[in-house]
Amino acid sequence: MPFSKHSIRLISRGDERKFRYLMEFISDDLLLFAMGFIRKKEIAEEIVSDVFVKIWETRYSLTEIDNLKAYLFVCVKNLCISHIRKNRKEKLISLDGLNDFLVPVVECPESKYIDAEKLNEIYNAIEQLPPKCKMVFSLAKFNGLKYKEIAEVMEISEKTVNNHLVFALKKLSESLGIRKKKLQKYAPMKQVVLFSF
Amino acid sequence: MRKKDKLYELLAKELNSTLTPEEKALLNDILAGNEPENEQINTLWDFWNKAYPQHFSHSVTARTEKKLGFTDSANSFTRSEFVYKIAAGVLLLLSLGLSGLLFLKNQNSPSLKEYHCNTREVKQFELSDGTKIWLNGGSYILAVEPFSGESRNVKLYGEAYFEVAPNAEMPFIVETPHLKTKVLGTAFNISSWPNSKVQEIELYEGKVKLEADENRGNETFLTPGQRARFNAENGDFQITEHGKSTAAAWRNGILNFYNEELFSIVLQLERKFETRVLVSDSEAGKLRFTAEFSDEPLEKILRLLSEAKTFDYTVTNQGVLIRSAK
Repeated sequence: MPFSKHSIRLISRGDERKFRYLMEFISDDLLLFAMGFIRKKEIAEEIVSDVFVKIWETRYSLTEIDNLKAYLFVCVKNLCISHIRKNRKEKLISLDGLNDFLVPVVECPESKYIDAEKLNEIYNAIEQLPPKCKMVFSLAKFNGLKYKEIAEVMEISEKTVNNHLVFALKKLSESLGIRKKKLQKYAPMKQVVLFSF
Repeated sequence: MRKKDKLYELLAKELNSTLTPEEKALLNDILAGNEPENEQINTLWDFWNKAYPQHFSHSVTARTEKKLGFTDSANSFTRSEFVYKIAAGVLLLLSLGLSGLLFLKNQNSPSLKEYHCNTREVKQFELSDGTKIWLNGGSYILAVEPFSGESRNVKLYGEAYFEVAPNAEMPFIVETPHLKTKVLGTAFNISSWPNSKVQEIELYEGKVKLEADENRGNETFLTPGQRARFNAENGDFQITEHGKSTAAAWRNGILNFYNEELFSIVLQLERKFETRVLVSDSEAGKLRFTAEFSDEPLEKILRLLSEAKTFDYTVTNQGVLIRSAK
């Protein structure tokens, strides 16, 4: 496993193969997260790559990091925010000042409960969530981070992470429920139209 | 209203896989109660477990390696890609038709692909040669595709079931730590978990050759219905019948054991339920069981096993402790 203590120890001693393996394992996730902040793929790639360069250059102290995975996400977040800061020419931007977080486009095999229309509805409902809530949802769903890791990345408490996720799920569920009700309401209308012709 | 809040709280935890068995039972209770939200919840569940971001290629690794000045095989791939691109560009000026052809070639340049699967999931995919692979939770496979050279090599970490597309000229080789499994076209399951000293290969069709790494020099063949256990510490193969009629039942979330020691059963329970299961003495660990479980909770599995052959077990928040009955 790329995040095992053993692997990290090898990387800290300069094992290029293990390091490459770590990059291959986690770079998709980190890039997805970076692209939530920065829409341009080129720049996001550059930021994630800068994080890896920094990790390699400071590899001697890697073993002191408690959770390397969460740490990588923190680094990506910090670099993204400082990139936005530079471009916006504003002095202070924190997660609170963030206007939006972009959720990746998803695809899903059709199943009993999901078809293209429902997928689209869920996606739209995610888009409507407040930015931080979206970020929690995205980190939990798309990056598979645990509450504790999300809390570390976003500098909020685990309880708040939980609240965001519960709120998100409730909103998504509600939006799916609304459609069902609408369909039921419109059904008799169709019959009326049929009769009147 | 309170019940509804509790429902979403449990759901969030379940999706984040931090639900305790008691909470899971409570969630199932609420869902079984035919709430109006049930269908939405099922939809969300499916979305969470099956929807993934569209896959896109990127050059993060290549960029980083360039900045750090790493030189290795991975770099040569990007270089050959680069050469193809220049060639395509030149030919584009000469003839549109030719460049179209070369563009196809460019897309075929080999690159390292990774397939992985999160815990509590099973994923199926097809390699470029038509080989079908099912990955068990927490496993991954690395392959340089499309395959070129004398063999089709992939690296496996964890557990996977293979249905290899026949190609007599290019044997398919699965590399796991200290072991190579060579095949021409067959169906087989390999389980090679980092926390287990023993790797298992179960064959369902065709023939495979197992080769331990050089300094051991051991090799053996398997025929359908056989299982090999490979111990990386001494390089020994132990061959038995696997006795399973359905190939790699874990693909459907089923656990099945055929005359298997409790020691190896608990490793599978640990993975499936993401908990710690400790067997304190080998008297209990050496008990053998033949059983099949689908969605029974851990407690029920333990109860059934301990009724079949007596042992004691205690369930705590940290996990399960098993010891022989006194």
